[in-house]
Amino acid sequence: MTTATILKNDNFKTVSIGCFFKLPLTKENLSYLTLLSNYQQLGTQEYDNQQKLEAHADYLYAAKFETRPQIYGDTIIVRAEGNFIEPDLVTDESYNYTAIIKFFEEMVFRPNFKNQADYQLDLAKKQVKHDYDSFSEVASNKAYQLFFKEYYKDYPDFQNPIFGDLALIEQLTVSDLSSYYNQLTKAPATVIAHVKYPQKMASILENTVFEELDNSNFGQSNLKTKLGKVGCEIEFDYDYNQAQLVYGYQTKTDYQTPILGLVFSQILGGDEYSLLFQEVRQKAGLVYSVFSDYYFYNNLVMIQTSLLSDSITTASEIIEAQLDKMRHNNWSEDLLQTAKQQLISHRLILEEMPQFKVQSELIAQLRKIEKADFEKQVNAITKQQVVEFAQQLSQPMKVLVR
Amino acid sequence: MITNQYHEKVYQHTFSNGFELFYIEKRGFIQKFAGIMINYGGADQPGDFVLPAGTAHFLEHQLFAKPYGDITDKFEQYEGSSNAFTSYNETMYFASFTHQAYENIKTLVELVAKPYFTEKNVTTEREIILQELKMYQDMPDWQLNNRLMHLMYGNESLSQEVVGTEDALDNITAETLTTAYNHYYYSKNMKLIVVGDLDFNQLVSEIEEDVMQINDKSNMVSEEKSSKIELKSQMSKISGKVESPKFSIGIKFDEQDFSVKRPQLYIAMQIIMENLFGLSGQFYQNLQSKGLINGEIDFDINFNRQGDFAVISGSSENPEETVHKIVKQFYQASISNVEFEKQKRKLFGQEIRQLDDFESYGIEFIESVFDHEDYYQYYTDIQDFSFDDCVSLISEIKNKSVHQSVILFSQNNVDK
Repeated sequence: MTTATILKNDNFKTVSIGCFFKLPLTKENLSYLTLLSNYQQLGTQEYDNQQKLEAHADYLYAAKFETRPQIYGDTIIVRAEGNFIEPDLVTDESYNYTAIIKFFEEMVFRPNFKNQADYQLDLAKKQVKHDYDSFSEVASNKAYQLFFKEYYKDYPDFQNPIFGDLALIEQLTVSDLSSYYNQLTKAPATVIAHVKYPQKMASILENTVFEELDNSNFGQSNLKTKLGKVGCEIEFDYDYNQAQLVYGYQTKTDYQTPILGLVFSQILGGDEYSLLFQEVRQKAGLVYSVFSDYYFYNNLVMIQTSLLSDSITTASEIIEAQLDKMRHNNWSEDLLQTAKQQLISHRLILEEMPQFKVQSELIAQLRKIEKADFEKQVNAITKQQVVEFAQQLSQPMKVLVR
Repeated sequence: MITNQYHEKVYQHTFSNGFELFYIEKRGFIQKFAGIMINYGGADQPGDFVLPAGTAHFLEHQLFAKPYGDITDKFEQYEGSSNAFTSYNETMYFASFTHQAYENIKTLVELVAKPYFTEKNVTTEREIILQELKMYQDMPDWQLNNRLMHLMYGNESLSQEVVGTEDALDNITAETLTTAYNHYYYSKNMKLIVVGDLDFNQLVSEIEEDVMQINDKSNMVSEEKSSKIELKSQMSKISGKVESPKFSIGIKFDEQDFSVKRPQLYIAMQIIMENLFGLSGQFYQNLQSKGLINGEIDFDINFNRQGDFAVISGSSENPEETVHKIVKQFYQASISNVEFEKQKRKLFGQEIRQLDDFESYGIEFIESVFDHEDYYQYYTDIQDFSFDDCVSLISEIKNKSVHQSVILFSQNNVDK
């Protein structure tokens, strides 16, 4: 059975390869995977400490490798990814696809649970704490964390979408991680590579453990989370120079693609022509940054901004007035056309980024969908559909961090 | 036209007013990138008069204002998205787009060629920039860097925050911006870079009329180093909203004191910093095993008209001991042949990746033109850089640099 999908790279100077495992999103899974991914970056069986491992990556012309859990709605995808310069850019014959795959295989499938494993675990825990602290020190990140903590108060599995449960992580042992890792490798998985010489890569992968993974249940049609709490306002005091304001509006759960929500969010707060940017920043001069995002898998539209405390009331009124405009069809057809053009243009540029092909293939396999014609889908959206999308939004959850 | 060993084709054209265009051909790509870099940034001062701190950055914001509204709307009309940044010695305006390439590039030229400053639009923009400044002031890394630059450069222009201060912003008027614009925004002091799949001859003819509207004058910006401050090493402690203490160490040097040109000095500094502070280095591992470092050590090397410096930063529960060890190790630095070869390969691999990223490729390329360097020669320089060159330069670096450090403790712990 062939697990790997190998895509042809015609334009880029790097090889991208990813091995992806799928698990349900639970607080426990996310906590284990946060720690395990840090642990795997600190040593393997052959390179049994971080120094040896990083030295070998340096030697492979700054090979990049990373393992991290990423959340797609109610699902975690463990992304073990590598990025290497194409071997034909250097004259060194020892640097080839075989050397690349050997290293990548070592990274994914040969974690070190023996030699100085307790020390490695201690370092991994410290790394998680440091990453958590660094993330939380940024005021806008703190507001984002607090929002999700409140929004998913009734669903603890979804409350911390980035790190999991730090208290649980602190308790885990090497034995816990080792057992968990063994289970992980039996989870549904897929391998995707984007390389200049696909046939050469295919013949090398044939003899590796990558071809033995089970990808029969990798795809699933629905990845959406439960609905969280809305219709309330919550304040926190952190003594920041600027207050952080976050709105979350729930959408209906039956949208099959993210396209309509993306167009809506683009008009509301996607770019500099958007209603929020124009009204809150350009006309009122109240903020430096204001934007909206659509979280398709969470059925959520979020608005986030930073501002002075004495501007909160005025800014809130202007923000809410923009949503009213959208609900009452009090905005121009030109805005819709600009939003569509910008979405399509951003997408075309994204498609020419080295990592995009792998990411796009991953989403298609995960959701069991054909890679759709993005441009056609965006252009099919009508103004009436956008108005209806605005009308079905719930009352918001509003989080203010001062 | 030049073709190099990485099959990158580059075209150049100088218009009759001295404005230079560079075009990097990327056949088969839909995306395009265009940027105009001005040889003027937040640390530059005219010399015969003084502009308030933050003027270059304010100008960067204000040039988007036109009599018909914000020029961003025009880019959007042409399916492009625009942005800009200001550094110590540069201001860059740029756009990414997929269609209507010539219209987008002409709009970019209009952005820098046609200022429209009024007291009303300057007053509105000042409020927005104040919000930007407040946002930075909430960032621990900004607090560290701000303090470090003051330690290293006293009251010189490099210590001024690029965004300015609240007081300085109050003193920037439409007249200030016009003065700065007239002084720095002229055809020979800016260059255009375009990356993508275009017809070069058509590009030249399409934008010629627009380019000729850019102000033309002959006096050039001085490239003299101005930093005269004699430093004594010292450590400063400040407090802020951090979970764990952070530190930042500034290494101040002057490239004119060295026996090699900037690319070789940069390569040597990259190699020695990576060897000392990178994850594969023995020193980093020692710090980690003793619990003296949280996460990675970051470093950055800066060359500016007003002074050159490197910054080493990180987080530690015992920052004073960590800073002491880092400084000591820096001034005792050495490298083996094996380490040297490994770091050279790493540096080459890191740099070659840039050729896939239109935005950073375009920005780095045009910076190299202003620095009178051959962009592609840098790749050859890395490969040709010898162990003996490196050892000799490490010795020079240690002898010709001084350091300062700042520690940011969590609030209430500054006296510990």
